[in-house]
Amino acid sequence: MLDRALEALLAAGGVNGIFLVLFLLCIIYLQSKRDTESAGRLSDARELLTTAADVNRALTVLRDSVGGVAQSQTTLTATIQTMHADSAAYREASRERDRRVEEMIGESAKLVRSIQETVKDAAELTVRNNKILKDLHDRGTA
Amino acid sequence: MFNFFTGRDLERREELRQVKAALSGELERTRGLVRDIDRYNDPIRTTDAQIMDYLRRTAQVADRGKRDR
Repeated sequence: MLDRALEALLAAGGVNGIFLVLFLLCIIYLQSKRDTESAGRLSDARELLTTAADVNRALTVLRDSVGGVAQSQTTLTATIQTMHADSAAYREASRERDRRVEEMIGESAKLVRSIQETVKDAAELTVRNNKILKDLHDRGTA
Repeated sequence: MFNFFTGRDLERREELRQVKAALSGELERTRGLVRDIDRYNDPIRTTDAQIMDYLRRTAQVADRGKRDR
């Protein structure tokens, strides 16, 4: 079939006609190839654009999350600083109370010792008075 | 001069140019987002260290308080 077409072309236009047809066929083939390649490049570029937009959406969510984390951390820091100050103040108050209790215990011990000495003195005085009374009684009855 | 490009080629070139411009915009946006995330990252690291320090000190205060009592 191709042979017959080439023979017909040779008869109609000679060798130049055949070359002209082959040249046109080459141009059509190359144009078609370029068309396919450019469509592929355009498709790739569109796909890349879609991917870039998706990545940016994900990065936007990530940035918002990181911003939230930073804000939460700031609040947490303030809370922990307050807790730290509160616990330090509580500890200091507890120490002060312990010191006062120890002082009170010391004063009570002193008081108890003083009472014991007073009781001892009173007991000695009582013994002495009893002895004096006994002597007086003995003299009176003698 | 003979123009080798057909009408469809020119349309595709124009569309490709627009896609490239959009991609350039997306890339710029990506750079901005990465800069923002980097900007948040340093304070987060610093604050994290501060929180750990406060927690450690609070635990020490609590331990001392228990021992004192």
